[in-house]
Order: sequence, then C-alpha cells, then structure tokens
Amino acid sequence: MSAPVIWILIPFIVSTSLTLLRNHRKVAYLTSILLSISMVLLAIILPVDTVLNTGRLDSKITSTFSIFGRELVIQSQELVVVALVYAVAAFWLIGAFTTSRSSLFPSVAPAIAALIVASIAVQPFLYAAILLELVAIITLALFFELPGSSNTGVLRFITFQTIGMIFLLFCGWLLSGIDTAPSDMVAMSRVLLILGLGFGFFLALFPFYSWVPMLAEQEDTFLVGYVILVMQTGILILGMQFLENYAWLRNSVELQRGLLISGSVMVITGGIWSGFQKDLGRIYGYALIMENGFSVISMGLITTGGSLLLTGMIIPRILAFGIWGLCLANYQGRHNSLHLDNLQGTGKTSIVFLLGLLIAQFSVGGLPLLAGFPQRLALLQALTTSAPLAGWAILAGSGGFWIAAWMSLSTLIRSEEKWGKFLSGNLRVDLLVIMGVVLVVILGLFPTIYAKFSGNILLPFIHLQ
Amino acid sequence: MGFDLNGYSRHGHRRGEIMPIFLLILLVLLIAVGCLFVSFRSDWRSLITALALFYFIQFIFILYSSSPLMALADLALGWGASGMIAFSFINSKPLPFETSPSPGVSFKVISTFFFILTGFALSFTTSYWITQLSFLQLSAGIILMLSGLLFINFYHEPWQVVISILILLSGFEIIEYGLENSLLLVLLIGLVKLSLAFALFFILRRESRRARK
Repeated sequence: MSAPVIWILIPFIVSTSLTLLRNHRKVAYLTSILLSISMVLLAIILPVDTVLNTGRLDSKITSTFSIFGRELVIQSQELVVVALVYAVAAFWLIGAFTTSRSSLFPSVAPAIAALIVASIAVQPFLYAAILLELVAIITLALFFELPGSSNTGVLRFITFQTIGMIFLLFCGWLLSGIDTAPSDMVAMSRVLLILGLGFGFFLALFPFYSWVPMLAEQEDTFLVGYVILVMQTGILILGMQFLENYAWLRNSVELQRGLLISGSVMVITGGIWSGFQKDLGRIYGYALIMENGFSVISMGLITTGGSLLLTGMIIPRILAFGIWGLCLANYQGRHNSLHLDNLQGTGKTSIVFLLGLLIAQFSVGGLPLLAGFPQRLALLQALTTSAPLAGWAILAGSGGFWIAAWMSLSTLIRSEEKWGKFLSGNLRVDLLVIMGVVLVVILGLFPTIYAKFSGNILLPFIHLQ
Repeated sequence: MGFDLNGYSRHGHRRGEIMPIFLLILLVLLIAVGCLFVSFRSDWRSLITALALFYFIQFIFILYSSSPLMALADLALGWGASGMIAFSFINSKPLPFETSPSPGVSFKVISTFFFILTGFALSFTTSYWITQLSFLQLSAGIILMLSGLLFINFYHEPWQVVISILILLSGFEIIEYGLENSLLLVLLIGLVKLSLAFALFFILRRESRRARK
C-alpha cells in the first residue's frame, strides 16, 4: 500500500460516501471524527518507505502513487503537515457536531483535508492549483446547504479561486520557459506578475479579499473559518513549493518587496476596517485577512528566516480562530444574529463564550502571554532591521483590531443584568472552549512546546530552512 | 490528409499549421456571436446551448493545435458538464432561480461588444509573447475569458454565475491546451467542470425542494 492511498484516497472515498448518511447526523459526524483522528494517529505512527517487520510478512508503505504519468508523493517529512491538516478537521468536526446545523460538513471536512494533502503531494506541484479549486467547489455545496443567506460571498469566493487557478496554471507554462533561459528579465517580470495575480486571487491578498468578510458574515462563521484556514495552509505550502523549486524566485528582491507591501496593506486594512464593523462575523473575516497579511509579510522575509515565522504562526492561528468561531457559532445559534446591536449584554448569560471570544480575539491581536504573541514579537523584531515601515503597519493594524475587540467586548457585557453562570450548559462545547483557552494561554507562556513541530513543517523545504 | 494521435501528419505538419484560415475566422465569429447571444438571453436553455456551442468550438481548436485524444476528452467532459446542468434544470420543479428578463439588455450587449473588441486588441499584443498559438486561437480564448468575466458580473443567480465561470474556463482551455499537451490536465480541468456542474445540481435540487415547501 502507498501513503497517498492511506491519507488521500481512503479518507476521500469514505468521507464522500458519508453523504449517504446525511439523515443520520450523529453516525455521520462520529464516523467522520473517527476517520480524521485515525488519520492523525496513522501519520504519527506509520513510517513511510521503511520496511515493517510484521511477523511472517515484511510490508512497506511506499511514498509514491502514480496516476497518468504524474505522481502523488507523501514522504515521511510531509507527515507533520498531514497530521496537522487532519487534526484541524477533527477539531472542527467535534465543534460542528454540537454547534452547526450543517449535515454535509461531516462528509465535506475530511474530503477537504484529503484534497489539501493531495495538493501538497502532487508532482508536478502546479497541479495543486486545480486540487485547491476543487476544494473551493466542494464548499459551494456546503455553504448553499443552509437557507437564509444571500450567498453572494460564496459566489465571489468561487469566482476568485477559479481566476487564481487560471493564473497559476498559466504561470506553470511560463515557468517552463524560464527554466531554460533564467536570464530573460522580461520573461521573469511576466512570471512575477502572473504569479502575483494567481496568489493574489487564491490567497485573498490585497485588493482581492472582499469575499472574506462577506463569506464570514453570510455563512456559518465556524465553517467559514475551517474552509479559509485549511485552504490558506494549502496555498501557503504551494507558495513555499514555488520558492523552494525556483532559486531566482526565492532571491527576487521585487517579489520580496511585493510580498512585504501587500502583506502590510492587508494588516493595516484588515485591522483598521475591523474596528468599524458592527457584525462579529465580519470582524472575524477582517481578522482572517489581517492574519493572512502576517503570513504574507513572513513570506517576504523568506531569505532572512521568515519561513520559521510563517510555520510558527499556523498552530496559534488555527487554535485562536477555532475557539473564536466556536463561540460565534454559539452566539449565532442562541440569538440568531451576530450583529452587535442584537447581542448587547448577551455576554453575561454564558461567561465561557465571552471568555473564549476575549482570549481568541486578543491572541489574534498579539496580546502578551497569549499564543499569538511570541510569533508577532519575532516578526516585529525581524522587521525592525529589514523593513521598519512594515513593522509600523503591523502596529497600526493590530491597534485597529484591538479597538474592534474592545468594542465587541464592551457591547457584549453592556447590560444592567447580573452575571449569569460560567458554563453554558452544553458540556461538549464548554469543554472544547475551556480546553482551547487553556491551550492558548499555555502556548503563549511556553512557545517552545510547538516550536519543534513548526520547524518540522519545513523539513521538505531544504532551501527555506 | 491523415494525422496521428499526436496531431502530426506523415509529412510532419501539425494540424494547426494547415488549418484553413477561413474556418478559424468563422469559429472566432461564432464565439463573438455566442457571447452577444448570452448577453441578451439570460434563461437557462440559451445559456446552456451557448455553453455547448463554445465547447464544440473549443474541440475544433484543440483538435487542430493538440492531440485528437485531448480534444475528444475535453469535448466529452464539457458536454457532460453542460448535460448535467440541463438535467438539473429539467428535474427541478418549480424552477428555483427562473428569473424574468433582466433589465439593461442594451447595456449588456454594448458592453459585451466592447469586451469582444478588447479581446481582439489584447490578442495582438499577447501574440508577440505567446508565439506557439495562432492569433485567431488566442483571440478566441481571450474573447471567451473576458466575456466569461463580464457575465459573472452581469448575473447574480448561482446557476448563471456557474455557467459564466464555465465560459471563462472554456476560454482558458483554448489557450492552455494549445500550450501544454497533457491529457491529465484535460482530465483534471474536466473534473473541475463536472464538479461545478454537480455542485449546481445539488444547489438547484435543494432550492427547488425549498420552493416546493
């Protein structure tokens, strides 16, 4: 058996066949959660390309699976990312089991994870763009499942992803020409432009991010968080593959400058616009844009250790947005709205969600002692020498976002009523939020816990370490 | 004249090199007319007919610039996607997104006409650096891509947006398959088209069920 069969084909087939169990919500969710957890465990336990001595028979899990002359390759170094992607799916599935009304999510979440793993494994890596487009198409069905929203955000999302795919595939053809003539400056600038547009649309870079707050406002915020975070992880890894494979691209000053400028604008606009929002879903969307901006800035510092910053941000981000989305899903479920005017004083009724929201928002904002702080500090330190203006952009953006966080907090507790109980009464969600909050604090106090894991994500990228 | 599966004659000519110029011009004109047609007819039958026509034109372009196998696979997948969308509409009763004729038809037609002209103009400049394709093939691809983008902005119903995305992809395919001779690429983009059609099938079924309730 090969690794791509275990971590791509089997979960994809099992999860898509779970659509048949849509009317048996509990069974579908439990199967999906078990599938995702078993994928994580297998990624930790099973060695790839190593002979396993199992009594009489020696077996080996090969890393390669061939299809139409192309290959899906999962080597042992890539299992860290595989485990991470399925762990995120498992976390979101557990949360959605109690908070989401979606009956499609259990069949969609592991399928998305499998496609993201396929996009990391596919050789040549340019085909990853098509697999990421497939992820976007799957989410079309997911977001249209629930009634009541205008769905303009999801239509814009699918349009932008398609345009991004077109640019990246076209860039693949252009790059094949550059391979033979790396000194052609005109061709190189053409590639940079097309590549920039491709990633701009795909990764929702400035100014192509309008769909993010729309999607977060119109759809189930918790599910939007999953789709965007997992897709962004896949796209960032695709970006790293580009940088790993093309030395001239890695060393291009224009590209680094472009990434720094684009990332800074995203942080400033995402952070400051969030301060003007009245809908918690839109604030979540702008926070996603701001976080994306931090990743783009880190990519711009790729020659000076930015890759470690980039991978270091992944776990705190996923954790913070996971808890935040979970709390928002509960507010949405209880009050049928995420608009601040309709949520005045509701924070006092179930303190656990207020605490979750507070910790998650301020972790994203980079408050000291929370999980988001160490990487934010490291990024600021790196920028002081190479691009101080980008450092100021981070401070301005974070400032705007802090205003949004304070505004939402003050609205949620603004009422004459007495404080209610700490727990909400839904034990599963309470437990998830409390565990998440504790983890955010622990990772903030002891960032070295996940530093090794983050470093291991870089193992397949020899030139970026 | 006979051609092998890779599109070469026994004299070593590629199909594109000996394709009659008038046929190419006719195809580009057909695309322009098809785009203008889509701009003033926004019902599902017209849009799907236009889409099927675009896939047939795409088939001829790919047949002459790449291998027949790629062209056939692409046509089958494209028509498969169009068929699936048509099937979803036939089976959706009541039609959830049936809209009345949209306003501003003359604006849409004029905009599409200008986009077609822009497509021609862009093809001139693009043909200087994409030398592997004929000017007319480039024009066909760029006109379809630009029109697809325009239709995405014209329409707001999910099925209209999805068909517009398919038109955009169709234009891209005319250019891409002339540059990259890969059956896997055809199959993967075909999978994207089929998935879009399937997602639309799912959306239409769900919406019509809601409308029935």
